[in-house]
Amino acid sequence: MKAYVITTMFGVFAFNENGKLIDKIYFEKNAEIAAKKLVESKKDLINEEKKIIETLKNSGFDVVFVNEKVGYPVDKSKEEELKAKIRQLLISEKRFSNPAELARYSAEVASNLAKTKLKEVKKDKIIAHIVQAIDEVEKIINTLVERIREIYALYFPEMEKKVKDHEKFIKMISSEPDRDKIKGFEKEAEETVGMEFSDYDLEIVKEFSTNIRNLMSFKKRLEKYLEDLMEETAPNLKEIAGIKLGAKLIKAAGGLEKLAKLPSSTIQLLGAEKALFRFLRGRGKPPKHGYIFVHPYIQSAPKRLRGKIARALASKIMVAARIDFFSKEYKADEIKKDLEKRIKEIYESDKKKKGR
Amino acid sequence: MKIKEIFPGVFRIGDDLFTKNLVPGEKVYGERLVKINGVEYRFWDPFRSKPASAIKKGLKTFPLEEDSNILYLGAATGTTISHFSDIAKNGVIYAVEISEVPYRKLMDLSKKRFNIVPILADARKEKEYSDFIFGKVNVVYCDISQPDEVEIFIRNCEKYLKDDGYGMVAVKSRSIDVVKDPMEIYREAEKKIKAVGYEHLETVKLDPFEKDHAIIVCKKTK
Ligand SMILES: C[S@@+](CC[C@H](N)C(=O)[O-])C[C@H]1O[C@@H](n2cnc3c(N)ncnc32)[C@H](O)[C@@H]1O
Repeated sequence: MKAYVITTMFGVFAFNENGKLIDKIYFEKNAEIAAKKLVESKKDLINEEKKIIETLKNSGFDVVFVNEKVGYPVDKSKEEELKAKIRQLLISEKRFSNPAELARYSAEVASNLAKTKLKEVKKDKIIAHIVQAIDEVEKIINTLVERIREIYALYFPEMEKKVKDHEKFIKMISSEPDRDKIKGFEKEAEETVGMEFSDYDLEIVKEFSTNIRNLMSFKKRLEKYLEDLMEETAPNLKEIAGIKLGAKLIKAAGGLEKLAKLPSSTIQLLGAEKALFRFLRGRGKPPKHGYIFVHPYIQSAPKRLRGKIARALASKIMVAARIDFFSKEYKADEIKKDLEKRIKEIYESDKKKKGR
Repeated sequence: MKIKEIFPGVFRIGDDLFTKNLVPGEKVYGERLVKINGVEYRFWDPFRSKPASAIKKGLKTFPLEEDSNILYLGAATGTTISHFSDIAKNGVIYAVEISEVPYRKLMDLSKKRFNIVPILADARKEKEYSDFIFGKVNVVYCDISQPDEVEIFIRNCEKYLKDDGYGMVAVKSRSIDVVKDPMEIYREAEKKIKAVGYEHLETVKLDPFEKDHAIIVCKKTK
């Protein structure tokens, strides 16, 4: 005997093969809650569904879902018929006093559902742009630093060689480009093999490096902005993957929703598309990991364990992205604990193997 | 002033079309309001709304009634929908719009007009809004200016339209194919509709109100 289960914004309903209602659990009559239930039931079994399934199974029914449900047979042919029945039921049981009130409620649920979508859609689009902008600004900074270093090396090569750190170098020459006035380099200045620069030349050096300095602080501001966006939109992903990696994954997937719906094997390879296609065309090795390669867990691991760790990490990233998309609850601490446990296991089984 | 109800809920005063304002005192898109015998009517602008242009151009079948349930694809900010909500005042208009910006306005509109259910979704994925549509509808209206809009329209009719329900699709000849003759494009759209067994009732070109547009009306007969 089959039982048809359908989840709606009003609750979960079960019908027998003759279209007779055999069980039902109403949701609370609250548009916000109903929207949440709908979203959750798209992803997983919700409690109300579990309860109904259990009762049905105990009475010997085979459960068939009328709406999409992973792990259960689906038969959509009865959808419209059953929905019409539910509509009648809602009115006859006085859950709604008339069709107009029911329409009113549908509108509220639809608006609530859209609102969650609107917020996320917007912000994850910004995230995708900002993470790319940060890379672009960084590239520009590097290009300009190279250029100003070459210019400055004509004038004061000894100092240019010694100050390896870009930021420090730019800070120094933007506040004082004149080699005779730079503190700590008096000796080098006296013995320099560099050419003479006029005041005009030095003015340009100063202006050039001041602009680079501004770009550097702008980049930091963008990074802080990205951090805030990630905190708001994908707090779990931010914690598990890190800010920049998390943002890159959102961008590569085409949004948080899409990322949340990817299997972890795909997440593991996001960003490695080029290597993957090369491999598929018969050149090179199959990639083991894409963007997630930069994650400290993988970076700090010995080469032979990286594939395994990448897999574990990708599966936790998937969990984090799903929670961020579907509920927003903060569960990163638990996810992290799980992940660390799994990584410890990987290391331990490796030790055992080597010991043997 | 002489006032004549030419279709259920659609009134003609002089040369102009009006609908009875569901929310007296409120304009939706800056349209003119007039009061006759204590009843407020909203001017239905044929330059802003395609069904109004079609009626002006002599449309014979206008299938909306007071208690019609309507699936509306490509709701935009609700200019046309506001008039449908005046007409089908005891029905429900399921308004599907894909783009966030107009959707926000639509949502606001639905807070004043209680028969509008605003749905943020892609009409191409007709299964994704089945959660909101309870019971089949009397009319499917489609105006999404997409190259595959006729196919989208048909898929939605197949899923949501009652067996004797009516479909209306606004076809933009240029969004489907830039080079072909508009008439040819309308004929092709009609063909596709007939191919699924629907009865083609009429095709009304909308110029001069809307250039390169026509509304095709059909009936699902199964
Ligand atoms: C020409 S406008 C509709 C105007 C509206 N019918 C009126 O008269 O007030 C087309 C609308 O269809 C929307 N649209 C385009 N593709 C769509 C799709 N696949 N699903 C839903 N809406 C879509 C656009 O965002 C736009 O708002």
